[in-house]
Amino acid sequence: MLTKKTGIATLVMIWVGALAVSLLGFYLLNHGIMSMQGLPLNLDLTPAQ
Amino acid sequence: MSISLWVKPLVLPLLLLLLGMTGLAWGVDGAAPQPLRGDYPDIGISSRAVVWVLAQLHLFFGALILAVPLFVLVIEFLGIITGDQRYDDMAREFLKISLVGFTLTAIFGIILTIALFGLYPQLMSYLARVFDGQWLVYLGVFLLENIFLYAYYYSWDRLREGRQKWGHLGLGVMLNLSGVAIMVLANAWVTFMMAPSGITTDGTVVGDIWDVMHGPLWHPMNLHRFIANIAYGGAVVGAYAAFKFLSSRDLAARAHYDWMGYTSNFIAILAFLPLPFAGYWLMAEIYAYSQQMGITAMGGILAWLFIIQAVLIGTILLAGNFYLWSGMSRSEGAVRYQWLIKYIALVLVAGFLVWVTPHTLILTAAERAALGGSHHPVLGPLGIMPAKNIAVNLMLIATFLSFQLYRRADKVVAVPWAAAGNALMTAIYLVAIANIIFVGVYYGYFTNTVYKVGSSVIQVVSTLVVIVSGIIIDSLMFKNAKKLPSHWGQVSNRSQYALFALPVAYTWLMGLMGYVRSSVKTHWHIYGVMKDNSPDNYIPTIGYAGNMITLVTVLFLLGLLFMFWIADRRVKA
Amino acid sequence: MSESRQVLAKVLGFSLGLIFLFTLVTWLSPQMEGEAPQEQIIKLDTLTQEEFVTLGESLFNGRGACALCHQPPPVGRAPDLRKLNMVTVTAERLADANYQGEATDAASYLRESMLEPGRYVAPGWGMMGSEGVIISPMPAVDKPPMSLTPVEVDAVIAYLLVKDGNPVTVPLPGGEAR
Repeated sequence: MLTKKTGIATLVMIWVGALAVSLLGFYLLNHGIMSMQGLPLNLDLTPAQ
Repeated sequence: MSISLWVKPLVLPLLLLLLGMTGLAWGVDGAAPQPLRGDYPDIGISSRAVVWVLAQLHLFFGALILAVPLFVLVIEFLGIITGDQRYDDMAREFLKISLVGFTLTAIFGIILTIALFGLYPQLMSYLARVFDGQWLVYLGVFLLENIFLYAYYYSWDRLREGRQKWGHLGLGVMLNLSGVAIMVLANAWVTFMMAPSGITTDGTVVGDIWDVMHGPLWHPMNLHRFIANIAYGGAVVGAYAAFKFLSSRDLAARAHYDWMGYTSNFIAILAFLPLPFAGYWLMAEIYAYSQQMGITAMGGILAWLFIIQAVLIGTILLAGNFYLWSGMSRSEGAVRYQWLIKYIALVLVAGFLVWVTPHTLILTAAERAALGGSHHPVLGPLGIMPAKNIAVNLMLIATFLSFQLYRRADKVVAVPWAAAGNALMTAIYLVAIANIIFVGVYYGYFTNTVYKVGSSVIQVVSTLVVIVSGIIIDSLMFKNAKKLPSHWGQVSNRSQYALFALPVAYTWLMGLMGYVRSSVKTHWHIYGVMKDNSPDNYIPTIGYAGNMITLVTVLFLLGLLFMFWIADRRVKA
Repeated sequence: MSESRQVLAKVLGFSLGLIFLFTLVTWLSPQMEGEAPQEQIIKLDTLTQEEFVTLGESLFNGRGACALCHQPPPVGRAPDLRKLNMVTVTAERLADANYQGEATDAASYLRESMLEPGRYVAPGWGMMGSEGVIISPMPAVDKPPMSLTPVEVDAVIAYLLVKDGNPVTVPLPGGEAR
């Protein structure tokens, strides 16, 4: 629960966490969508064919 | 009402007569006819122009009367579960406005049928042979739709209470189902002409009616038109509401029509958002069916048309967004979000400019020498699909953001996890935008065609993730939110013009797309099977098409005015 | 009621103005008219090689619809035939381990590519097929809507060979007029 005492640290953690979750989510989405179409990717998202 | 009474009994005999005429063509051998130029009836003016006008008007009104019952049904349902009488009243008002539209659709449909059979007898008799008894099914469903329409509208008061209300809703469902069935049956004729199925290369029918109907373009067309109809219906009804708003001095009336306009715009924009994806599917199927047809549409003679399409869609998005931003003035809580609007506007304008940038320029030899080629060295890359995909997806995300801000404007969120929720939402926006740009640039310009095309799916899904997560996160966040005062009617007169821009742009866009759909067949009636040998068997210039589209749009506007005028008179009666 | 009339006038004016704007854009755009192919009667027995090659070129750019896809990158959806040397390219293709066709020289390879495009997909130019296999997006040219006759196919091959200065190895047609 955010109160006036909530420090910068907590806010930073929340935002870093949110960004991390989103980045991971979209990274997995990229892999999933491309492999579903028979277009596999390497770990660095370059084409694997 | 009085017009409808004598139109309907005319329909049956006329159509039966026409069917009888087509019956004369049966018994001819299996292949498609190959008429010569002299075989086409000549009435002194362009047959193509005549059919063009009639077909477009039929489709404009048809789209409207398919859409309105759908959201009437949804709004009536909302009225039942919320218990709010205003929804029920608005549903009824929407239906009342569009009643004359059913008659106009039927009238134009009949005249169109006569024109088609009269001006293109060989084509129509062949199509009648290929589609066999499907015409009768179409006629039957048409009659059913009329029955359900009258039952749904005129039983509104009588079936108001309790279980009977659900019965009334059931009539609405049947009205919608029959309407969709009509569209789907008719779509098959059009998609057959573009990408025929169930026949051999000389036109002999080898499959059954399902093979004939179920061509590769049928479902993409069905989906595209179904969604587009909804957006269109919302836009047209919104114009009615805007007009009534501007004409009213009474504050209560202004509040009522403001609410109506907002609801209509909500439907119009919400249905509009998935349309580019449905259109993309249709285009992808066209390419899969025939690379040649696909290139003609987007890389060849019709390519500039899609630049004009960008102008129209840019208008639609700008109008829709402008209306949402104006609407923020209804609530004092909107002030906190004002600062974001200029950035949304920036994205929309930048996206629009990219979308509008052409690739292959038509240049004189001197110009080409000065430029160093037929493409601009710097702006050229913005002219191809990867750039446009980036632009479109970002414009849609920006529009959804306008939506989200508007919906949040009159609330103060009270859930304990608000900070985390907002952080996640913001992160999703930022990462989705970055992903769309990265994927578009990398796969679009630095990998081969297969990966380039496949990456556009990533972009679409990224946009959908933003929209879906936005809807979910917000609905969870709004639990027990404090509602700030929001005043229906407290909106500028100027904002209402956005509600006029929307249907005007939509109508013109529909006309433009009709020009594409017909032209991709180039000099064929039925692509690859039956050549078009009429005097008009060439793709007309975009300037000519623009004039025709403007003509049908203006005619439609007049028809709309007539429709609204009749609706107004019913109120006074 | 005059309030309504005033509003109607303003709304109509705005709508017509917007429509005029859209129309203006179409007037300002490049005006191109599609031309339906004209039926041409060609006397085949008197055709010189030069005329044969010219026929091939007009088919390449016209009814054969080759130029629609065979354009330079990034627009081109197929190898840029006008720029590439057909003999050199054929040698590369035939030498590819994946090549499973029956062609032996440039003319036969070109003919095979036009009539059976799925036989061999040039690397980097395929598209994803339904079973996850790369297939050729090119349609067979002797089928509708191009429907090129064998003589016309030869004409296109002749054009493609001559444009790089290579010798024509397809026979000139003799005999029947079209």
